Amino acid sequence: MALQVGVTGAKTRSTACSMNEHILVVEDDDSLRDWIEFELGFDGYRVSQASDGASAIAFVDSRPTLDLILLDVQLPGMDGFQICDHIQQLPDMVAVPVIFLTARASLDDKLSGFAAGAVDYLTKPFKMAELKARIQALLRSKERQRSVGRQEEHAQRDKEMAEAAMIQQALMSCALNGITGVEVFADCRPARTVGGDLYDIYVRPDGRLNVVEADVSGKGMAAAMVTSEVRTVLREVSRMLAAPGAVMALTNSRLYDDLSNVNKLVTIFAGFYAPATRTFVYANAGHSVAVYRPAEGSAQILEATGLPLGIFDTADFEERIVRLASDDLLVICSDGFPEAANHDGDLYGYDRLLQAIDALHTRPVQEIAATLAHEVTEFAAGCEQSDDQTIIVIKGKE
Amino acid sequence: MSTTMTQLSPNVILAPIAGRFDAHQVPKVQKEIDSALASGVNTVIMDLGEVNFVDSSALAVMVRTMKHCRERGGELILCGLRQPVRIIFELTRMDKAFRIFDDVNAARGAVGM
Repeated sequence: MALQVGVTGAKTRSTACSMNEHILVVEDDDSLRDWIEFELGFDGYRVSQASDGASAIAFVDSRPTLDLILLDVQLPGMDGFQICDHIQQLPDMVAVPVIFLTARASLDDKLSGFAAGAVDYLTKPFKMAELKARIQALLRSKERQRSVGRQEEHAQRDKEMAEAAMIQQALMSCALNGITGVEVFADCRPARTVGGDLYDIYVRPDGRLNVVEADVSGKGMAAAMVTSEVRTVLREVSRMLAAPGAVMALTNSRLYDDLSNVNKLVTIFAGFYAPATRTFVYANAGHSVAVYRPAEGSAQILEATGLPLGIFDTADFEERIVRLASDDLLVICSDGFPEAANHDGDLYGYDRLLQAIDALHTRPVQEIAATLAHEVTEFAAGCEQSDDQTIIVIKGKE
Repeated sequence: MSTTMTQLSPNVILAPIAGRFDAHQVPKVQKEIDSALASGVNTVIMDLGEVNFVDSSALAVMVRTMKHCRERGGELILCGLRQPVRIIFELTRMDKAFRIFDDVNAARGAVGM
């Protein structure tokens, strides 16, 4: 097959391909094939060659990772259309664009090329600059498709995460159902879409208010999956047992194996408010930090009365009692509050938190929560929120 | 932000940790300790003398290490806790879960190293 090749156009070195895309050149004219390989190789493409139908088929059947195929139509043994048909049958090749190179330039020829699955058609003689431009255009549109695919994947994942977040929020309850004597507000702001914190506030069958805040180590989806188990076990155990220390001990033994298997710890602050006596009895499994601010006096940390869950298979949790009469205040924060860090790496810390609670103790519960959240965010100005932030504020009323 | 573990004996390693001991540093520490445990170590001395902050994932890796050491008949020993870290341990009662010594020498002495 005699053919004349056009004059080489300006070399497009500036657009050299950095990703080393892989192009197969199927051409029986040795000098044309070598020339194309030289030019494309010079531009940074990885080039493989085949000089007849059989070796082209053998090559694509070896499942190489290919980005584009240049295919001569008139080849010894098998023509380009047949090779193209074969390629279309291979699942991982079907998306690889094919450019036909041929001296046959009739409309029928072109149409049969497109019918066989070609995406472009170049008539010999051609200019190298044009061939390169067409290759680049095809590879760009392939890259665009890939990026659209990635965006669709992201959008799907975002949608699933948003659904998960909605469910996680819906499982956090703050239902007072007629409990008198206290104002209560609770809020959970995960560092990511979902998180490892939870609160659960509801009225027990014995008429006391069940108040729980928990923090599973870590954050994001993995921690979120553990929170739903923690909530379920806590609810079930709280139905059977009437003292927070016992609830904590049984919850720990129920959760221990699962927590060990996934290397997680859970800190929990759990207590019951009794309207009749206006007292709050609690157990604190390593939860940092609960702050009590009596109407007269100053804010103080309610230290842990036992270890976080998941450390020992059996553990004891002492109980403590605080009064929640008029203007007595209880603030239960997850560690995302005191451990919020600023650009210098300084933590918001316990002292600032205690001072802020002292300054805010006369305010309504929702305002206390909002102001503390605001102060912590201000303190960490510009730094990404690195941990989930959950807060429960309970205050005795007149 | 780095750890360079020292083998003190066929079954004891010293793991000095520095900086913020948090989710960024935990995977590396866990990997190094796991490979030590796989090679026959059963006792880990974690030197927290240069640590200014531990988060919950660091506490979780300490608990995991403690469990794995015990399964192998050894233990996890902590030492050199600085004030901010000591406060976190006391508030969470984690100081009750571990054997803690003031400094590396006291910790080494406790295991005869």
